[in-house]
Amino acid sequence: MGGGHMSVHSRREGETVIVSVEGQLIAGNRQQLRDAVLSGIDSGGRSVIIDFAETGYIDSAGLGALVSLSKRVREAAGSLRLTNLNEDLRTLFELTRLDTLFAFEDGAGPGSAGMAADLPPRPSRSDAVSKPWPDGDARA
Amino acid sequence: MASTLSRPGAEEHSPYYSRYIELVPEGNLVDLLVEQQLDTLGMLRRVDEERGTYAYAPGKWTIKEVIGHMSDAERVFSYRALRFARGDATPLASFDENTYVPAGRFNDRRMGSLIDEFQSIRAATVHLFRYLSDEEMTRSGVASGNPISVRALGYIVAGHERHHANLLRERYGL
Repeated sequence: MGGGHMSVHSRREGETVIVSVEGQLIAGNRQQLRDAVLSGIDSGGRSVIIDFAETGYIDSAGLGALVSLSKRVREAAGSLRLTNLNEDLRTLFELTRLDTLFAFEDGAGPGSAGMAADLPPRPSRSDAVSKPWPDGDARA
Repeated sequence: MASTLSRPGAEEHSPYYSRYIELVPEGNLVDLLVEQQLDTLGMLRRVDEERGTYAYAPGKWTIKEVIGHMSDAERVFSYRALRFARGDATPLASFDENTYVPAGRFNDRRMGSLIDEFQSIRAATVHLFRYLSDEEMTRSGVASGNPISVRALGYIVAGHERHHANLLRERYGL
């Protein structure tokens, strides 16, 4: 880590916006990331991938920015995926128990495997008929 | 426009809660809840077991009791927010922190246990507010005999935590 330098690069592949973060994501520069992601959404991108392959550190403000960005992307009917986090960064999400708010994947690219945390699975017919509870949970 | 980006108006809560809401800096509420989680937990994790039972004056809560109170209060405030956000207008009762804290027997627990619990509760709070829409944030109900909005409750969660984190630094030397 050194000096809090960060640069953000974004590119568009169809409806997918890929934002790469180089350096540290901290309070002083989180707005750069926010601007890049929201700009991608405003220009019609529906799937956002943030690539952390070149990111060494995320502080509490940076983590907060990611959570609120995930909310903004969801409100725009989009999806957000995080990719290429090193072990320390991934541990940060797990320790704070915020990992369930995000979809993680190993490679940056619109064709990469990965499940968006906010996209519910389609209900199957068996789901619709297997609700035995008589109380308020019957429609769970 | 009402949103997690805008602060609650004075009419959205009783004057009592202004002391907490005013402690919340400008910015996004969800951002702040996450920031607080990491920053406060970083501070608390430096406290060893012996230090955990320190109180700065007779009759004051110990550090462990403060953490337990922060967890209790955040649960209650978040529960109120959940009820009102879901459109449930049932008036909700007040709670007495001075009976909750001794009943919680927090001094009998290890620091790590109390910190882990607070961390889980804050994560649950972040999840709750992360998925509320702007419209849901402006819904309101009655708690402790006063009208209060979901958004105000979110700010009270953040401000209450900030209030106690400040006290832990200033009076408990953390």
